[in-house]
Amino acid sequence: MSEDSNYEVFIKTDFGKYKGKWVAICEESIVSVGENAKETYKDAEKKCPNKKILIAKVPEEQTMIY
Amino acid sequence: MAISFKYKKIKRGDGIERKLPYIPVYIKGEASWIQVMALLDSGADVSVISLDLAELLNLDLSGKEEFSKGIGGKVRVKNSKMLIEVKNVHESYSFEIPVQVILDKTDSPPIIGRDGFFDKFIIELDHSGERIRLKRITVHNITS
Repeated sequence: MSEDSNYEVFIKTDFGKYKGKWVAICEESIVSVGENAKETYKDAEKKCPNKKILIAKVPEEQTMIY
Repeated sequence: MAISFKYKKIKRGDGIERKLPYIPVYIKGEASWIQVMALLDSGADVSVISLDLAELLNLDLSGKEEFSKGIGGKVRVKNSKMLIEVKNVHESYSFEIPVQVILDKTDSPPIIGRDGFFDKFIIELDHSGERIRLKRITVHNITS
């Protein structure tokens, strides 16, 4: 598994069903999805202890960037 | 050498697939390093993150509350700082950058703005080639 495997999953995955959510990726899988970054990451840590975790906010369809 | 990332393709509400310059960064506040996907935004003066991410990073939020205006409207923010690291298997660069934490509810992803970041790299947004390249500025490639 490469160092950037979680990043590759983020690039390739269609997150359409997770719009507006935080997603946590660990060992090339989405391990947690939630409304709150902290809760989503902590949940991912429990499911994926001592592993690399990447989190991302999936933009809403009409998200306006400030 | 340059650090290269791919554009992320996301379908918008109009049904059109857009290519967005997301990059993976490691961010550290008072807690440990967290890997986050952030949107590179040359139109933003300063980096911006949501309050829940700031709480995960345990950023210092002791500063006074202010308002920040953008094309999305006016939001309440607090100014803070965070350590950021950009790396691949060959190169790694870390430095402190200013960040505004949005206190109001927001759907915005983490944004890397210009202050403290864009002066560290020559940044190439190769939209047609779907690549983002960051070349660290050194004394040799700074031109007057």
